[in-house]
Amino acid sequence: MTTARGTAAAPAPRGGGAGGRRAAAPARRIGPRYQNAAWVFLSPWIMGAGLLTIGPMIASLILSFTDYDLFGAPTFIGFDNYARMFVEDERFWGAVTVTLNYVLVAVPLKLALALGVAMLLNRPRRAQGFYRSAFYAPSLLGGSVAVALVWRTLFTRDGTVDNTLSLFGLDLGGWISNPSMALYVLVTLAVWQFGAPMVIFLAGLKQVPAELYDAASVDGAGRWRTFWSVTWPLLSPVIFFNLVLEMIGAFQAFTSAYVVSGGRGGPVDSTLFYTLYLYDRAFTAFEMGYASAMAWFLLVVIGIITLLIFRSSQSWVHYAGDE
Amino acid sequence: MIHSTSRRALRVVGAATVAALAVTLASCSGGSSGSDGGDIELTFQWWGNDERAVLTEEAIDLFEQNNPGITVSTSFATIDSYIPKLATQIASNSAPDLFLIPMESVKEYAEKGATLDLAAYLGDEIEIDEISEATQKIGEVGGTTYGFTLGTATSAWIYNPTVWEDAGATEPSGDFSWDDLIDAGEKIRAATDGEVAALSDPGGYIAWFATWLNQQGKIGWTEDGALGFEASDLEAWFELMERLRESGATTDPETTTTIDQSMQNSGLARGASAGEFAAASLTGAYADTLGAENVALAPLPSDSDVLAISMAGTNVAAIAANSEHPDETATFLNFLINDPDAAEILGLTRGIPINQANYEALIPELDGADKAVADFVTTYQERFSEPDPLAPPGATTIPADFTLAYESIIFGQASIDDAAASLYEKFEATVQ
Amino acid sequence: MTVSTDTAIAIGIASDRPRRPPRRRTIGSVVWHVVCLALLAGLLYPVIWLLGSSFKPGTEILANASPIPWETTFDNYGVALRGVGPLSLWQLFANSMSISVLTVIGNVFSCALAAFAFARLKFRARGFLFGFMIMTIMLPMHVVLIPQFIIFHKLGMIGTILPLVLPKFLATEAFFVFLMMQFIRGIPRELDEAALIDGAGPFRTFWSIILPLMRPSLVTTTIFSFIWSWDDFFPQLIYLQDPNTYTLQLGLRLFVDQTSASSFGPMFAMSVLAILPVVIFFAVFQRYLVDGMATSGLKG
Repeated sequence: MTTARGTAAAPAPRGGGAGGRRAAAPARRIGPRYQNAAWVFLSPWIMGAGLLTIGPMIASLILSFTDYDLFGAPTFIGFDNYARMFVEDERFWGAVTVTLNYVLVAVPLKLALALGVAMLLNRPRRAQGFYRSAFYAPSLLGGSVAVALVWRTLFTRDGTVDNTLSLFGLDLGGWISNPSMALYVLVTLAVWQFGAPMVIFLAGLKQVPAELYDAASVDGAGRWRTFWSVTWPLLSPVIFFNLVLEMIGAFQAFTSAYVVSGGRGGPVDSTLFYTLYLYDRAFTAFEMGYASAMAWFLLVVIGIITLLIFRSSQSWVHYAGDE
Repeated sequence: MIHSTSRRALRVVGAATVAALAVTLASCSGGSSGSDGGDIELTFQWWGNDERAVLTEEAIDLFEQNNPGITVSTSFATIDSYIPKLATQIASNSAPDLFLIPMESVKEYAEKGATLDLAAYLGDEIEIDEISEATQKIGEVGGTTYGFTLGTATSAWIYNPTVWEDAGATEPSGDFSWDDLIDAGEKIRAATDGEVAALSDPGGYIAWFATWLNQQGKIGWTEDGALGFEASDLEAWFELMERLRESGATTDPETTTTIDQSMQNSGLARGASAGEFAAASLTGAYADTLGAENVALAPLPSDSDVLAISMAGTNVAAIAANSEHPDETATFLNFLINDPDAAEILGLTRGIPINQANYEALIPELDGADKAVADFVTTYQERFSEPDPLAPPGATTIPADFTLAYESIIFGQASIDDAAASLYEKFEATVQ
Repeated sequence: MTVSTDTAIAIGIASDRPRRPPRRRTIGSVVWHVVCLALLAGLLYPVIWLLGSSFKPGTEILANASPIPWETTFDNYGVALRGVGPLSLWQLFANSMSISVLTVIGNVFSCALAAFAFARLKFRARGFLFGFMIMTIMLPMHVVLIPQFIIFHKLGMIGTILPLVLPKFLATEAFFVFLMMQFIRGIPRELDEAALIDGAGPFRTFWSIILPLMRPSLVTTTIFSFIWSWDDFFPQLIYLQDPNTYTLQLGLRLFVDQTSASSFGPMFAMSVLAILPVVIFFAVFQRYLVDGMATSGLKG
C-alpha cells in the first residue's frame, strides 16, 4: 500500500526528505484560509439550501400537523394525521409492508448484480465500451410508459415469462394480475435497471491502482483473496455510497409502480408503494397534510436506517484519503 | 503569485457560473412571447391527447381572429397528469383563466371557491338558449352555475357484433336483461373455447353501479347531498356480479385486474371479452383498434324498463375565481360551447356539443364512429334519463375505493358482506 | 485475472508464476464473451421487444406477444416524427436537450464545489450541514413540490425553465454531492499536503489536484445528470406551461391518453427515438470512465 502512494506522490515521501518542514507539522493543517475558502465553495449549496430546500421542508413539516386540501388555507389539527396513519389506516400499513418487502429484496439483488457485472466489465478488452453501454441500456429506459407496457406484457398469463418458466415446469400464470406476485414484477424491473450502480462501481474500480493488483499477484494471492484484500477495501466507499443511496431510492420508489399499475397500486394494493399512496393522498384525495405526515414518517425511518449504516461504516469502509 | 493564481481560478469558476446562469435567463426570456401592449392574454388548460390538441388549436386560432386583442395560450396534459398540475396551480393561486374539472370533483372545486359564479354572464356573454336544462344543470352547484360541460357523452355497451354473431348469441338491444347476458355469455364461451367472455367485468366501477341503481329507481347521491341507497344495494350489486362471474359471462379476476379504463388495457380491445361498458365517445377509439365493422353500440342490460342512460357531462369548463380577465374568459367559453364554426372544427371530439342547434347541424356530416354514436343517441333518446346530481366534495376518492373493494372480493380477500359494509362506510363519510 | 500481462511487463515485475499460454487466454476471452452475451440476451429482451413493437401496426401490438412483427411498418415512426399535436418532434427534442445540458453543467460545477468543501475542508457545523444535506434526499419530493412551486411563483419563474435548471446550479442534488465526496475521500491526503507545501491554497488544490483525480465521479455525474433530467417528468409537468416548451417526456405521455387507441405504435416509436440521444450520450461519455487514478495525471 505504502509503495503505491509513495511512487504516486511526486515530492518528498513521508517521514523525512528535503526541507524539514514536513516532519514537524501535523498530518493535517487547516488554516484560516481554508475556513474562509469553505464558505466560498459552499456558497452555491447554501443558496440552494436556503432558498429552495429549507423553506419547503419546514413548510411540509408544519403541513403535516394540519388539514390542507390545497384549496383554502391549512387548518391546524395537531397530531391527528399521525394518529390516523398509525392507528386507523389499514392501507398505510399495507403500503409500509409492500415497500419493506420491496426494499429488502430488490436492493441486495440489484447491488450484487451491479457489482458482479462491473467486475466482469473491468477488464481492458476490446468492445468493452459496447458491453458497458449494452448492460446500461435498460437503465436508460427509465420509468417510461413504454417500459411499463412492455413489462406488463411480459408478465401476463401466457406472456414471455410465463411461457419460459413453464418450460422448467413452473406454472405460475400471470404475475402482474396476481396479488401475491405482482410486487415481484416491480422487483424484477428494479433489478433489471442495475446499470446506475454498475456504472458507479465501474468508476470506483477504475480508481483502484493497477499496481495493487500486481503487488497482490506477486504475493501469490488468488482471485478471492485479491477481491477481499484489494478490491473490497478500496471499493468500500463506493459500495457504501451505493448501499445508502439505493436503499433510500428503493424506499422512495414511485415511477415504476405508478406506470406499471396505472397509478392504482393494484391488484388489491399489492403494489401500493409508500410514495404512491402518499401521492394518491396528496393529489387525488387532496389531503396534503396527511401526505406530509407520511413523508416525514418516511424521512425518520430512512434517517434511522441510514444512521445505522453510517455507524456501521466505521468498521468496514476504508477511505484511502483519510489515513 | 500563488494568491493571484488561486484568485484567478476562483474568477474562472465564478465567471463560468455567471455565464451559465445568464444563458439560462436568456433562454427562458426568449421562450415566452412578449405580449404586445394592450393585448389580453388568457390561459386555457384542458386534458386530452394530441388529436384533440390540433383541433383545439384550430378553434382557438379562429377565436383570436374574431377577437383581436385577445390571445389564448393553452396548456394540456393527459388526465392523470392534469389533475396534480391543476391542484398545484390552485394551491399557489396561479390557476389558469379557463380550465376543465373532472366530473367527480366539480362540487369540490366550486364549494371551495376555486371557480367563478357565472350568473352575471348567463344570457349575456354566455348564451344559453340552445342548451337544454338538463345539460345546464351539469355545471350547477347549489343552483348556481359555475361552468359548462364542453360535450356530453352517454354511457353505452360497446360490443363486438362479429363475435356475438359467430357464437349465435342474441345481440344486445334496448330489451336485454342481465339474465340474457348470462345466456349470451355461455354461448360465447362455448364458441371461443372458453377464452372470451361476453363482457369485461364492470363490478368495480362506480359508474356502472350508479347506472344499475338508476334502473331500480335509486340514485347515488341526491340533490341535497345525501346517499340515495343502502348497503344492501351494494351487496345486491356484488352478488349480481358474482353470478355473472361464476357463469363465465364476465372476465375472470386475473383478466379483470389488468383492465382499467384506458384503451391500452381494455378487455375488448385485447380480445379478452366481446364487449364492455364505456362512454359512447370512445367508440371511435375502439373502431380504430378493432376495425369499424367489429364495433357496435347498445344500451346497458336492465331488469326494468329504465335504461338509465343519460347525457352526462364529460367535464366542466369553469373560470378561475381570481381570474384577472373574467369577462374575456366568459366570451371565450361562450365561443367554445356556442359558436357554430367552433362546433364544426371540434366535432364530437369532446362529446356531443351542448348547443342543440350546432349538434343538429353536425349530424348529417358525421361518418364512421361519430355517426354510430349519433345514431345511438337518436335511437334511444326518448328513453334517456336525467343525469345524476353531482357527487359531493370528498367523493374524489370513492371511485378508487370502489375498485379496491371489488378487487378484494374477487380475489377472495374479503366477503361480499364485509366489503360492502366497509365500502358503504366510505360513502357515508362523504355526506357527513 | 484482473492484471493484464502487459502491465506486468511494463512495471518490470519479475514473476515466479508462469505466464498463461496464449491458447488459454483466448479460451478465457471467448468464455467471457459468451457469458456476457448470454446475460445480455436475457437482459435486453425487453428492449428488443420495445424495438420490435415500434414496427408493428397498432392493431397488432396488443395481440402479438413476440418481439417480431407479423407485419412490419414504418408508419409509427412517420407519425412520431410528425410530433405531438401542434408540437414538432424537433421542438420537443430541443427543449429536452437545452434543459438537460444546463442541468449537467450546473450539477458538475456546483456539486463538485460543495463536495470538496464537505470532504476536505474543516468548517464549523460541517457535520450538521452534511446531515442536513443527506436529509434532503430522504424527503419524498411530492410534499415539497407545492411550497417550492409557490416560491417559484413568487419569483415569477413559472412557465420558464428556470425552476428546472436553477436548482441544479445551486447544488440541490445531494446525490451527486455525496457521490463526489466519496471519490474525493478516496484520494490520498498526501497530495493535498504536497500541494500545500508548494504554497497552493484551497482553490489551487481543488483545481489542479483534486478535480483531475475525481474525473470518474465527474463523468458519472455528467452521465446521470443528463439521463435523469432527460427522463424526468413531474417537475416539467407542473412548471412548463406553453406546450412549445414541453419536453420529450411530456410529449410522449400525450400519446397515451386514455381515450385513444391508435397511438400505441407511435408511442413506442417515439420512445425509441427519445432513448436514442441518451444512448448516444452514454456511449460517448462512458469511455472517459476508463481513466482512473492508475493512468491519469498522477505519475509526473
